[in-house]
Order: sequence, then C-alpha cells, then structure tokens
Amino acid sequence: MHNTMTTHQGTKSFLPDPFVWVRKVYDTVEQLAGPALEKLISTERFARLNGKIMEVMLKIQRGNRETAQKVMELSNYPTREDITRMGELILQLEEKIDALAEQVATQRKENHGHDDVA
Amino acid sequence: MDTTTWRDRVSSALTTVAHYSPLHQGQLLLEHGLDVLNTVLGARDAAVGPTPKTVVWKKNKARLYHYGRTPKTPGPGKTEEGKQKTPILCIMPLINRAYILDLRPGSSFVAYLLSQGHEVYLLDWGNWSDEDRNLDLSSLISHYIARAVRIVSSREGRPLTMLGYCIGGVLATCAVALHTEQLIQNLVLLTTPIDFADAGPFGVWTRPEVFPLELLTSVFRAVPGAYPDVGSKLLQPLPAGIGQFVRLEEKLRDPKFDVVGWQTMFRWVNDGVAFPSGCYRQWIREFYQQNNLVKGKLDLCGRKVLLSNITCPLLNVVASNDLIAPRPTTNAILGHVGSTDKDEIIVKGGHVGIVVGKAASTDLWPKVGAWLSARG
Repeated sequence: MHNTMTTHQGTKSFLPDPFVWVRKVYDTVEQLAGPALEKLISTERFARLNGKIMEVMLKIQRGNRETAQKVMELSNYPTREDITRMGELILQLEEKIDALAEQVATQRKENHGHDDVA
Repeated sequence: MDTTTWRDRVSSALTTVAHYSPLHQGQLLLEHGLDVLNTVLGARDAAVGPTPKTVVWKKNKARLYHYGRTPKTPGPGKTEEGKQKTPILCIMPLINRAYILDLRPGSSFVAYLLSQGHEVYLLDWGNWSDEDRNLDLSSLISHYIARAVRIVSSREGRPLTMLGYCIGGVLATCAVALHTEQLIQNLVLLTTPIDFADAGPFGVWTRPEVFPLELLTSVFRAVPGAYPDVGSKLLQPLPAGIGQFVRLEEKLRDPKFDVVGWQTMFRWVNDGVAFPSGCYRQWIREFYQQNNLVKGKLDLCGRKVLLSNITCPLLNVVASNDLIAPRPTTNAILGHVGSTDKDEIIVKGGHVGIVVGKAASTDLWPKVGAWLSARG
C-alpha cells in the first residue's frame, strides 16, 4: 500500500485517507458476508430470534408505559390514556358530523338532482 | 533574465510544503467528513412536494389534495384535441409520507400526470396517532376512500382513475371490489402485493408462531414507523445500513453528484408514519398470515371482498427487483379480477426506484401515461 494517496480534491497526500480504508473494508465485508446475511434473514431461525427479541423489547416498553402512567396518575397529571380518550371522543364527534353531512348531501341530491358532498 | 528573488523562491517552497503538510491534508479530510455529516443531517430540511396543491377535503388527519396545473398543460383536464381526460385519485400507503409521488422537480409523478392533462387528486392519510387505535381497514375504505371518490367524481363531473401505491393499492383494490358503483373508470396499481402465499422475508417474519402481533398492537396504539422501517432495512442489512453512508462518502467526491436528490430520498425513507394498531393487526393477520384476499375470505365493510367484482380496466405495475413486495405477491392480481381489459408492466428497478428513480421519467411514467391516454 503506498503511503501517498489521492485526496478527494485530486491532490497527492502523504496522509493515508481513512475514508478509502473504510470503504475497502466495507466492500470486502459486503462481498463476503452480504449474500450470507441476506440468506440468513429469510430463515425460520432468524424469524424466531427476531420474534423473541421483539417480545422482550415490547414487554420492557409495556412496563415503562405502565410505570409512567402510574406516576402521572399519582402526581394528578393527565396521562397519555386520558389524552387519547379525548382524541377518540373528538374523532367520534367528527364521524357523526360527517354522517350528517352525507345525509344532507344525499337528501339535496334527491331533491335538487345534483350532488354536493364536499 | 530571471527576476525571481530569493524571497520568492523561499515563499514558493514554503507554500508547497504547507500544501502537502499533514495538517493541510488532515484539514481536507476533516472537511470531507463534515460534508458527509452535513449531508445526512441536512436531509430533514430537504425541500419536497414542489407541485402547488390545495386541500379540498379533510377528515381526521387525512387530506384530499388537488394539484395545480403546470404552464404546459393544454387546459383544465383536456387533451390537445379538447377531450376531457379522466381525473386521477392517488391512494397512498399508510406507513409512508405521501410526498413520494411529488418528491422534487424532475422526480414528480404528479407533475408528469398533470403535464399529460389529467386532474390529479391525492389522498394523504396524515400522521396516525394513539386516538386512531380502533380504526380498521373497513373504516378507511368506507369513510375515507369511498368519500374521496365521491368528492372527486362530483367535482369533476365524471368517473375517475384510481391509482394505488403499495398498501394504498391494496386498499384501492378492496375499495373497487366492494364499491361497484360506476365511479371508477380505471384502476392502476403500483407495486401492490395481493397474494401473500410467498411474501419473502416479511412473510417468514410475520408468521403467527413467531410474530408477537397481539403484544405489539396492545403496547402501541399506533405502531411506530420505525418497526416497518427496520424491517425494510433488514432485507439488505449492509447496503441499507452502514453501506448507504459509505457510498455517500464516495459519491461526495464527485462534483457532479446530486446531493439534493440523495437528501430528498433519504428524508423520505426515514420519515415513516405510525400504523394504527387496529389496521396493523388486520393487515398482518388477514393478508400476511391468512392471505384472505386472494382466497375470497376477506370481510370488509360487512361484505366479502371478491376480486372478481373488479371489471374496470386494470394496469398492474410490478418492479423487477422488488424486495418489499416480491414478484409473487404483485403479479397475481390479473388472474383474479373480472376485467377483460387488463395489462401488466414489469419495470426494471425496486419498490420505490421505479416510481421516483432516475429512469422513472423515461420508463414507468410514459408507460402509465400512454395506458391512461388510451382509456380517456
């Protein structure tokens, strides 16, 4: 390996270019391990491992959320669940208004012969 | 006569030494490294969605957009001969940002369709959140898509072409199969998985024996976009992981490299949207695990979704190298629909590349444009 390397600006450098080294290492690893990795991820074994890792992470996440909920409740602050429920109520209200608007539009269409659904 | 003084010669020698000194080279390398970081970190600010649009309908977080016309279009929804062109309603995937179809100048399928004389509408689902946990696919089809279809048809005074992309294509397919009133003139599907019998790695990972679906959808009211994103990246772990940054570093050495193009794509790939848990549960169970759509066992909106009910002209676009929706999933639909006018186009490229990649404007777009032109 020469000590002089061409920098990204095309000038000769006496300092080794670490980016070129990283690229060479990556290209080698990708060539050797890439196809094997892509085969591995399609296997039953990987799917099982992936599922188990997900399960553990989700249970940790569930514990975090339950703890946070308890802390917020004890501190007398609105919890995520409270805000979500409020959001759901608003969506239900919007749904009812949309249904009414549809009924009105259908009625107008029947009465006047044109659609005005927007 | 040589007029250079000894001062000039010393100065020139010092300049040469400084130019090749390790300090100078180190500075250049550091700058290059910072360029790479800057490019990656600046991607979130990349400008997207250049085509002007107006909101014509809102529901929840969803927006129905109507796109403006370019100066080159011959007239409102008319061909050069004065015939009115069929308006297009784009149905987007649930888990990705809708601006992929209008990514940037030169990479905008929406702008292309406008230039062909079509009125273009796009249903952007918005960012789902916790309060959408009870939303299911039936709600999306009957309360969002069907209503959007009626609005577009009413505004344009004629039936429309529905264009669905990926999961959006599945929803569009189900909507057309269920709502057989004559408001849909054509159906175009882009990389839309229909038959999940051989769905590649996603099919293996989501099997009921290994995939904690109930736990996932009980912990998250909206499954974070990171989950499908990691899944997509796992399909090519090295290139989609560290490889993209190694390649970026290499490309940044080329003065002609399209930095903005890279940034807009990087922004979109990493800008995932949460998936409402009710929909997600249905999506995995009914499609990946039980494959009910092609079996005729999928119940939505209180009815069976029968692909044979689709009789409108159909164009199915599949990507030759699609890892997200592999060929066995996307090329099955033609054998199930009742349409007599049905075509399939195989475009060279990947799931996203065929729509917005470099070759899209010369490959996919004109083919879709020609197919639509032949059908009004």
